[in-house]
Amino acid sequence: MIQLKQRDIFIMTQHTATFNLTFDKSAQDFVINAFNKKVDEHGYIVEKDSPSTKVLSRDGQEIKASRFGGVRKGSEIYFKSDLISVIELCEDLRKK
Amino acid sequence: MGLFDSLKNLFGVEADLSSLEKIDIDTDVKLIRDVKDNTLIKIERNVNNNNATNNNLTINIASDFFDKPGNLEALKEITRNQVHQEEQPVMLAETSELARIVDATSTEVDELMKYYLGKIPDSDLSILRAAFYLRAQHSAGKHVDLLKQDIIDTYGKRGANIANLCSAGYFESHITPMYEELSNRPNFTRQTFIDTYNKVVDDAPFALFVSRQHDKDKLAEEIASKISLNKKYGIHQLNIHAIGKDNIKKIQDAITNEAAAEQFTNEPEISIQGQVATYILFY
Repeated sequence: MIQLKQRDIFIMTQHTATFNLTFDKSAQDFVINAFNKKVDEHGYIVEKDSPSTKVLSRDGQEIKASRFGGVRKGSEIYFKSDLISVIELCEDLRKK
Repeated sequence: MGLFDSLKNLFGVEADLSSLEKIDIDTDVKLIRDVKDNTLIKIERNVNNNNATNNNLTINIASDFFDKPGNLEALKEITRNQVHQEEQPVMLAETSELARIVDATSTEVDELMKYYLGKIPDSDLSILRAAFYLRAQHSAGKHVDLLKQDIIDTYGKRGANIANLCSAGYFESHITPMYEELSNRPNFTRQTFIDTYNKVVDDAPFALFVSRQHDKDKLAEEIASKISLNKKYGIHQLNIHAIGKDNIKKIQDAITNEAAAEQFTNEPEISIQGQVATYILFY
């Protein structure tokens, strides 16, 4: 079972009527786990039930936990935290 | 049940927060629940440098919260539902902040990009777009080292070159006029422009950007080499850009020696605004 540290935080951001859930770095493992994933010994996000299967971003890149930006629907798209991934994410969300 | 109500129920928040919906959008709202089981609702106003505003409601999860059976799974389910049912991304807070900044500057960047669509190589469009976001952050007084590193990590040297040229305003000051000039010539094709554009991006003959990797001697060598090459092409001016005290000092050290000074036909023009400096050398 995951034990969160005392200062683990979630921040809910309100945009008009929509609530977006964001997480602090300290709660990252909790979020990864919530989606049945885990971090392998090399720092990559992998399937919890099949650790040899790495989680990929939409453009097919493996994702290190240190560069994990979050998850979104479609069905589950994992994205990185770098500028280029965030630009793509924002453009995709704007198209919706 | 939506995210807000689900979390309220799970954490046993009893305060009536219905009035939050009426709070001005320029207000951050944070809810903190600490280890002593005290609940504190704090309302803060927060407008960032890009005038992007939001209401924040923060929950600190106490370590003993998960001692109660079912709480861990309940919070996981709320997290998954946010993606699957509410169709909202679950994001790292820093990523969310970056996304908000990108959103706030997207109209400005879209406008800037319009000119270059169909002109520069298609493969450079995403680099230039990222470079414009980088420049907007820099103009807002933010540290951009990590964002620039993101561009370099993704696009390599070409990414670094485009980011440098864009940050220094060369797309508007050099590349746009270059396109206008070339496009007025007979038999102009897009490829004519791209060939010249590639020379600018690859070599930036009129500019030199001082980085952390430069030391005084390496910089002096590069200046001498660029001046020598430029003379062959009839370019008699070199703009050297630096950000940060250390990099500015490297330029001073590299150009204030006899060998370097002998090449100059005029005193260098120096413009220093805070941590940003441009030295123009004439030869």
